Formats: sequence, structure tokens, C-alpha cells
Amino acid sequence: MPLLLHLADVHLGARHADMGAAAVKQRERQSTAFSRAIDEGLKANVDAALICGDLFDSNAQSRRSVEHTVAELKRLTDRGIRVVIIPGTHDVYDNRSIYRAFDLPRMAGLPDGSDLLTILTPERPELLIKELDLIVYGRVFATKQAPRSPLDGFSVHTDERASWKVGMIHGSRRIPGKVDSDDVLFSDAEIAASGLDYLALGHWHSYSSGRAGDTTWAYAGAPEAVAVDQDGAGGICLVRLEDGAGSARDAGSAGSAGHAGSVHVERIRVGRTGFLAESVDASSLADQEELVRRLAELADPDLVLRATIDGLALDNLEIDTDEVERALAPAFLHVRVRDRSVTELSAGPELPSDTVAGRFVADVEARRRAAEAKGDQDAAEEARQILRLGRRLLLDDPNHVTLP
Amino acid sequence: MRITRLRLSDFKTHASLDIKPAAGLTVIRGPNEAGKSSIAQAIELALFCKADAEREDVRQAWAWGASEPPEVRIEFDFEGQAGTLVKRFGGARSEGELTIDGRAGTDGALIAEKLADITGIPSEAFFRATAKVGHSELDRVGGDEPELHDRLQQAVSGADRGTATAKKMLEAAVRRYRTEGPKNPGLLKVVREEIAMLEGELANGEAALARLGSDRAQWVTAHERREELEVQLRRQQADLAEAQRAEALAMRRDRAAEQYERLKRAASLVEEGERLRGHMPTAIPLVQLRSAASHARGLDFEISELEAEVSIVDATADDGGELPTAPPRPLRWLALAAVFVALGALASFLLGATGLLGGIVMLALAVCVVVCLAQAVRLAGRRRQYGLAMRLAESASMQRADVDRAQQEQFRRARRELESTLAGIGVDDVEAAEALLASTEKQTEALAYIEGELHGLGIKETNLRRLVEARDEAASETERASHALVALGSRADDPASILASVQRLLAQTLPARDAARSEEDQAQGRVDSNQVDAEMVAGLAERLSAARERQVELDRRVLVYQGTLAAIESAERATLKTAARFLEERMGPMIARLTDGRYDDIQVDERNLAFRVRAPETAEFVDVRQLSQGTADQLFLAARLGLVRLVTMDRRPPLILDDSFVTFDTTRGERAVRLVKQFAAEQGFQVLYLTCSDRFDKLADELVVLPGPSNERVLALPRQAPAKPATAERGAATTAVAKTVAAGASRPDAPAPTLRFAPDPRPNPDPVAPRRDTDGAAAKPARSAEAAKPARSAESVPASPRPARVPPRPAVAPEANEPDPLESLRRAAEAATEAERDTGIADPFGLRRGSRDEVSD
Repeated sequence: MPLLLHLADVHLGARHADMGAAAVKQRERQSTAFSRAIDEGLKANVDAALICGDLFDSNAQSRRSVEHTVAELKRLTDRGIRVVIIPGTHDVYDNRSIYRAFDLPRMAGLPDGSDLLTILTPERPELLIKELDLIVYGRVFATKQAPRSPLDGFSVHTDERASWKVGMIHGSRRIPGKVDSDDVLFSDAEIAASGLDYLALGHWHSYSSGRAGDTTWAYAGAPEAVAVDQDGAGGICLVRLEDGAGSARDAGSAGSAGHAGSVHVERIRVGRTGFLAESVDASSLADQEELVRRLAELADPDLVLRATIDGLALDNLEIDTDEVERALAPAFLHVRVRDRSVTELSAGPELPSDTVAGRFVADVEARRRAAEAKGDQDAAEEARQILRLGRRLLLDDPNHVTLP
Repeated sequence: MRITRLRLSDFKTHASLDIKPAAGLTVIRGPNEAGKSSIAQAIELALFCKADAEREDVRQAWAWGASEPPEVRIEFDFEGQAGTLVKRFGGARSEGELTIDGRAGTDGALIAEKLADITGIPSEAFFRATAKVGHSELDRVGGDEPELHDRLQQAVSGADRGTATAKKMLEAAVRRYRTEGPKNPGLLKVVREEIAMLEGELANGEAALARLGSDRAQWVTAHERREELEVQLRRQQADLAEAQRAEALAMRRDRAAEQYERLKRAASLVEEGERLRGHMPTAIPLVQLRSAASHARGLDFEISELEAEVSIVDATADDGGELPTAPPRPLRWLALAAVFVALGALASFLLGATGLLGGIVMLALAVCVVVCLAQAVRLAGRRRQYGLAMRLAESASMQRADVDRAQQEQFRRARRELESTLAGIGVDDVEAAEALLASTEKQTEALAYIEGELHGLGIKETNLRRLVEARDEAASETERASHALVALGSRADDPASILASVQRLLAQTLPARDAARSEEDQAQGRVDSNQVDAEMVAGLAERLSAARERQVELDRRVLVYQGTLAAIESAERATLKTAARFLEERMGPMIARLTDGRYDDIQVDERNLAFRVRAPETAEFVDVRQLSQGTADQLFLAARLGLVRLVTMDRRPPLILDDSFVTFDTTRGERAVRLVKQFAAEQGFQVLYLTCSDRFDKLADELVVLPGPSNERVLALPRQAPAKPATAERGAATTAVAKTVAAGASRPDAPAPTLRFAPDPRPNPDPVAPRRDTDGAAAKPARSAEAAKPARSAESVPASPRPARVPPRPAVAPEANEPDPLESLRRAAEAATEAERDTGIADPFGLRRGSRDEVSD
């Protein structure tokens, strides 16, 4: 009954262009989540660890980064746990692949011929682990974009070398209408026809699992989320291949009763970073303090908050997003506040046209209307903001107006 | 709009105040802290502030200890319609109500809109910029022309503080963003430079990463190529080793075969030698045999010789008679020669020696002579030999006997020795000995040949058995090598050519492998020397992204700032142009009147509303400061207040002057107040003048005197929700008492205003007010009959039509308790004021002569 650790999409060394100074922290968190995933594997005493692509965010990683990663993998191999890796679409197995440039098994101190740390490639597409009665198939291409489905014509029905048959793919399940194109694409029908007991998948950063025919498949998701809209990220999978009939154990796990046994997938959380995109209706805000107060209610040191102020903003609402970010920064991993609101000018007093203020308002209003008539929303919004600022400067005490 | 009654309840210091301003000039006098400014503030808040506004100044309007919120009630007249405005500023208990002509409304927005329409003033800021003249606004009129211009500009700005502050702030902000200087670079430059720096660093980093990728790819290619060549090389080296082995085996086989052949021959030779040795003719060593045979042969020869000698001696003895019997005779030949000579002499005689015949005879005879002589000589020799032979023969005969005896002895010895020698070698005669020697020598020669051949074969071993063993071993070795070669398969067919072929391949593979290794090493060197860190480059990209985002934000901000600044400046230019033309048109007649016709043309700079008048002497425009102080004051005041009509679209809101002339000396101040009063009367404005001085009492159409703050009031604080009196007058102790006096009555001796403003004759002086209600379009603002009068004199026109309700001088006059620094000046200037009484300005703005629409830009 082999017990497998399934993880993918660690994206070590990833860039986080929209996280500013917090990007460094997020990279460290990704590294920490990977380390935690190894810890979980050791704790569960898994028989093998399957890393389904994109372990590295690119092939241009430094030796230091690779050595650090290998040191983590070595913790498994030192315990005799096999590590099987397939390249992905970021660390693609091209002629500059990390897996070609670095001899990972040797870096892990393994002797020649050892299969404790194996990179499955087009040249070496499978690994037979006799003592586990398990064979692992890596469906890998040497290009980022697959020339065909990795499961095209693939079937293990006649392979009698081992009882348990596990596949590894880094690619997308075709979902008609939703996912119709990607670098690597395969279908449920192909999964069902493969005859695999379990198909370990990578590429999608959110966890998902299911069955196709007698094959159980699962995306482990990224151990640490790397962007918003990755609610299912932050986890790894423990996959138990059990002899005899079995069934899904609990919620959050997928199970199947393939050939002679069953496959149980259990998801374990190792990531901590949360990404939250929060939209704030500008019309509901009285002032900047209220915005800070409301966003502060979401305070979480593990949260990357992307707050967007949208809707209609009254002209007396002055938001300095820099100030808001500074005020909230200590309470979050990272905060980014963007004002996308459209200025809604209050009716305000109708100013006599022979005054500067009156003429100003009339001129800018005319400009705004012209822009709106032309459909130039940017120019219209600029005119609104000019109008708002001008009215505040001219009709209020300008000393109370801040020009950040 | 004209305020007919103002009532304040619990508004700051005013627990209850009730005043009824005149239609013209109402002077509200009170000492410091009497609440004069509070009255101005109350009017301002009532007119322009929502009752429920959450503002600090509104909160501060609460009277100390009051339980009820401050309330302002204004009764007014608007174009003949009576109206009431009530504002109670109490947070949740706020109330606002506007009633006009019996129709009431409580909606704050509607009230504000209606009031803006009534007053022509849309906001507090606008109010402060126009209808309210602060106590320091006119300080420097005539002294600081730029400030004067600023004040006028402020009046047309519609803004509380004019546009200057706003523009300065915007300019400062734009400068803060746009400055390009190296020492204090603007925000845009900073972020631009940061972006440029990051772009440069990122480009370098990306290039380094690209190089790293490329070098790694080259390394991988070279590495894989080298490994492939290494495999190929190992295979070729294995082939080479096999070929070499095959070649060695072949050599071994050949050597073994050769050895076999050699040993085989050697064995044969040794066997033949042994056979020869076994069949030798004699056992006597060849040398000894050869010596014996030779000795025997010598003996045999000696015997033969001896035998021959005996024969010769015998023969010699037999041959003794062969000696000539007579000795030779040479003389005969000599005699013959002499004959011939004689014959010759005879012949010569006979024949002559000189003839041919004689010659021939002589020659023949000579030859005969010579021959005879030669024969004679030869025979002489023989004659000597004959004698010797004769002597020898005699000696030999004697010796022969001796020789015969010695020879006999030698012969016998030789025969014995010969026999002994032949017996020694086992033969009977010399011939047998010779035959034995010959056969022995032949066998020995054969053996020597064999030994020579063996030597030539290099075989030293002479033991036939061992030779046979060695030969057999060589045969086995040959077999073994042959079998090994057969096991090598085709490589054994032609190991040499295979070896050559493999060596050729190796010669190609080795350099290729070395080249790949070199390329691999070089690529590895480049990879190792490339210190780029992908995460560091990622950091640069992230910083660049943030900086670009910031740049977009800064660009947006500065765009808004610049747009706002440009729009304000544009609006200002247009507005000032209108105002300048407006002032030029209306102030021309006024300046003529103010200067008794000396100046009749005025030019207003449309950039800043600066005045210039045309000097009659030079017909050129000169600075307005060349006019007298009083004229300058009047000009500015007229312009300042006149602009109110312009910018309020002739709504004529009540003007509030908060001790605007407090710093003026008495003469100047009174002149200014007279101008204001005249302006108010002529233009239909209501003016509330708040002052702490009583020097304007006499000019007031209505005078309100406020008591100063009393100790009792202070001691009474905080009040315990005192019951509010039903009337406004609750007592001086806790309530400000409004006291109105007729200015003329209070100061009967005071000079009456001398400036005469012509009343506006227009039935509706509001042609530029499109928002005016149509039903009220024909209505004129209510004015007092007194204000409408075209002219009045100090003697005939009282300041107020209403009877005095309080003494003209309050019992507790604030001036009595506080010094009035201008009082002495006032008195001294009164004489000068008198001189100006008759200098009137009928219609400084000529508003009654035409509508606003007639103003040409």
C-alpha cells in the first residue's frame, strides 16, 4: 500500500511584480511552504514523493537556489524515500533546463545508478519501483508547448511489471467551454483510457480532484499561493494506494476503486499566505479614515490584500492611497489599495458665471461633458477630478486641502 | 435681500438678541467681546450652512452651558415678499425652515438653493469673498497696490481666499512633482530616475539571466555531446582492445607455429646427429686420426723417396759413359774466322771495296767472321764444363758408397714407423688410413652441419626429449591461440585492418571529445563566472513594476494639478477681463466726479484689476496712487462693492463690514463709511457695519449698541437651563440688548453724509439674473423710502425713519471703558470732512443707466 506525497507548482524563485517590497517575503514563504511539504511527507512516512512540475519558477535559478532545493529533497532521500520529479511549463525540459544543467541526484549525494531521486524526462519516461510494486510514468515533453496530448495513445493496461500504476503530468484538463487551450492539454477521456490508478497533476494552482473512468486524478495546487484567485492553493496531497476495495474517506478527499484497490487523496494545508481582493464602494465611504477602519477589520499578517475602491466617489471624498497603504501595512503581509472610483460631483452651489470659481466650474464641466460625449472616460474622469480639486481649493479653505 | 429682523438665541454670547437693521446702513457697535463678529457669523451660518452640519465652528456656536442649541432667525424682505429663515444648529435636534411669502420649506438642500438664489451667493466662501468685508481688508488701500488688486481679484474669485492660495498650492505641488533640478529633484524626476536606474539594472540582470540560460544550454549541449563521445570512445577503445588482443593472439599463434617448426627441425637434426654419431668409422678422434694418417702418408712418401733415390744412384752409376770423350776445340773456329778475313782482304783487293759486288762480298765475309767468332766463344765455355764434369765424376764415385749405407738404414726405420702408425689407427696401409680418414671426416662434417643448423635455429637444447616436449608445447600454444582467435569472431579475420580502422575512428573521436570537453569547460566557466541571481533580478522587476505604477499615479496626480491650475488661470483671465471692462465702464464717471473732472478716464488691467487713470497733462494713464488717499479709498471701495453686484448677478445681498475701517483715521474712516452709506442707498444694498467705535454712530441709519461682557454673565456660567424670556430684551446682565437710535438724534450736531448716491431708478435692476423667479422679476427689492430718495442733506434727512428706542448713547458705552485711539484724529479730521461733503458721486457704477447686459467685453 504505497503512500505518496503529491505536490506541484512550488514556483521557487517566482516573481511577484505587484507585491513590491513584500515580494521577497512571499518568495521566502514559498520556500517555507515547500519545506513544510517535505516535513509532512516525512511525518507521514511516505514511500515516494511526486513533484508534478514547476518546482522552479524558471530555468534561470541560481546554483544557490537549486542547492537549497536539493537540500530539502535530500531530507527525503536520506530516509530512503524516493523522489520523482517531472519538469513543468516554467522549468521546462528544454536545452537550458535546470534538470539538465544540474545533476540533482549527484548534488543530493546519491551514487550513480541510484533511483532515489529521479527526473522523468522524454528520455526516461518511467520509473519502476519493484519493492512498492509501483510504476510511475512521467508524461513529459522537451518543449513548453506540448506538440500533442501527453496522454495521446497512452495506455498501461498491458503493462504487467507492477500492480500500481501512477502517472505524472503538468498540464491542463480540457474543460469544454472553460479550458479549451493551454500549453499542455489532455482530456478526461484520455485519462479514463490510460488505465492509470492515479494521475498526479500539476499546473493548476488550486486543488481539485476527480475521477475519469477508473483513474483518480488530482491537482495538488501550489503549496503557497502566488497570486490572487488561487483560493485552492496552499496545500499538498497525501495519496494512499490501498489494496482491496476502498472508498473516499472524508470530505476534501477523493477516492476511487480502480483495478484491485482504491486510491485515497487527502489534502494537507502547508501554505499560509492568503490573497484577498476586496472591493470597497466609494459611495459608502465618508472619508479616508473610514476606509482604513474597514480594511483594518480584515487585518491578517498572512494576507495579501488587494483593495480596490470603485463605484462613485463624492467629490468631498479624498483618499490618499499611499497613506492608506502605509496605515495598513503593519497589519498585513502586503496591502495594495487602488482607487478606481469614478468621481461623482455633488451638485454644489451654482456659482455665478462672472466669478473665477463660476467660470472654472463652467469650463471644466463643459470639458467633462465633451469628453463623456466622445466616450473618453479617462478625460472625463480627469475633468471630474480637476473639478473636484478646483472646487475644494476655491470654495473651501485651501489650507484644508492636501495635495499629496 | 434685506434683513428686517435678526434674532439670535443662545448663539455664543448672545442668549437672546433681537435687532432690526435699517434698509441702509446699520451700525452695530459694541466693545470687544460684545459679540459683534458672532452676529456676522450667525448671519453667515444661517444663510449658508446646513443646520445639521457637523462642523467645529457650528459646535462652537453653542452658548456656554446652554441646554438649547443656538438658533438664528432672520426675517427678511425679498423683492417685496416677506420671508423668514430659522436655523437651529443642534445636531440631531437641528432644524431649518425657510418661509417666503407664506410658503415654508424645511429641506436643507432646497433651503440652501433658495437662499443662494435670493442672495446671489452660493457659498460661505463666496460670501466671505464678496458681501463680507473683513476688518483688515482695506488696511492698505492706496498703500499697497498689489494687495488692493488682490482684494479685488478675490472679490471676483468666488472663493474665500481668492485664487492666489489655490494657485500657489497648485504651483507648489506641480513644482514638487516637476522640478528637474539636480539638488532637489521633483517626485516625477525621482521616480523617473528610479525607473531608469531599475530599467538599466533589470536589463543587465535579464541579459545576465539570458546569458546564463544560453551558457547553460551550451554547457548542456557540450556536456551531453561529451558524454556521448565518451561512450563512443569507450566503445571504440573496447574495439581497439579487442583488435589488439586479436592481433596479439595472431602473433602468439604465429610465433608458436614458428617455434613449433623450429623445434620440429631441431629435433630432427638432433636425431640425425645422434644417428651419425652412432655410426662413426672409428672412435679415434678425427684430429688424431687425421694426424696419424698424415704421418703415415709422410712415412710412405719418405719410403718412396728413399726407394727413388736408390734407383737414381743406380741409374747415375750406369750413366757415367755419357761424358764426352774429347774436349771441344774452339781454335778451329778461330782459324776459320781468319780465313774469312783473308778472303775478305783478297776480295777487296780484287773486287774493290767500293763496288756493289765488292760490298756484298765484303758483307758476307763479315757475317761469316762474326759467326765463327761466336762459335769459338761457345766452344771455349764447353771446354771449361767438360773439365768440371770430369772432376765431379771422380768425386761421385767416391761418395756413392757412403750413401748407400745411410739410405738403407733410413729406409728400414721408415718402414717400421709406418707400420706402427697404421696399426695405431687400425688399418693396414696408407690407402686404408686415407679412406678411414675420409669417411671419418665426412661424418664429422655432417655432424658439424647439423650443429651449425641447430645454432642457426637458435636452439641450444640438444636433448631430443626436451626438444620434442618443447615442440609439442609450441604446437599446443598454436592451437590455443588459434582457438582464441576463432572465439573473437570476425575481428580475428583481419585484426590488423580492424585495428587500423578502430584507430582511425579513435583519432576522430578523441579530438571531438576533447573539443566537447573544452567547450563544456568554457561554458561551465561562463556559468560559474555569471553571478546573476534570478531572485535579485526578480526583485528588480518587482521594484520597477512598483515604480512604474507609482509613476502612473504621480503622472495622474500632476495631470490633475496642472489641469486644475490651468483651468483656474483660464477662468481667472476670462473673469478678470469681464470685471475689468465692467469697472472701466462704470468707474469712469465716478472718477470724474471724485476728482472734479480732473480725471475722467480709468483703465483697469484685465490681468490683475489694477487701476490707472488718464492724466490730463500728458493724456497718459498713470498710477492710481497719484490720487489722494481719500479718492483712492473711495475708488477701491466703489470697485470692491460694485463688484459684488457683478458677481452676485445683482442680487444685492446684505453687506457686512466687520469693522473694515478700524485702522483708518477718523477722517478717512468717516469718509469711507459715508461712501458705503451712499453706495448702499444708491445701489439698494443693506449694510451692517460692526464696530467698536462710536465715531460712525452719526452716520448710521440704524444704530445698535451691544453691551460689553459683564462679570455677572461670566459668573453665571454655566447656566442651568434658564428660562428664555419671551422678549428679546431679557436684561443687560445675561442678554445683549439691542438698542437702536436714530443717528441724527443721537448726534444732532454730527455732520450728515454729504455723498449723494442717486437711487437706482430701474424697476428691476436685475437684468443679468436669469435664475430670478419670473413672478418676482418685476419686483424691486424693498427699500426704505429714505434710501430711495435721490438726495438728502444733513439737515433734512434723518438717518432712520424710526423713532429712537434707546438713548443715542447707551448708559454703558464700551468706548467709555476702552480707549479709542482714533477719537482724537476723528475730531481733527471733521473739518476736512466738512470740505468734502459736497463732493458727491451720483452713480458710481451707473448701474441704473443700463443693465449688466450692456457691459461689453
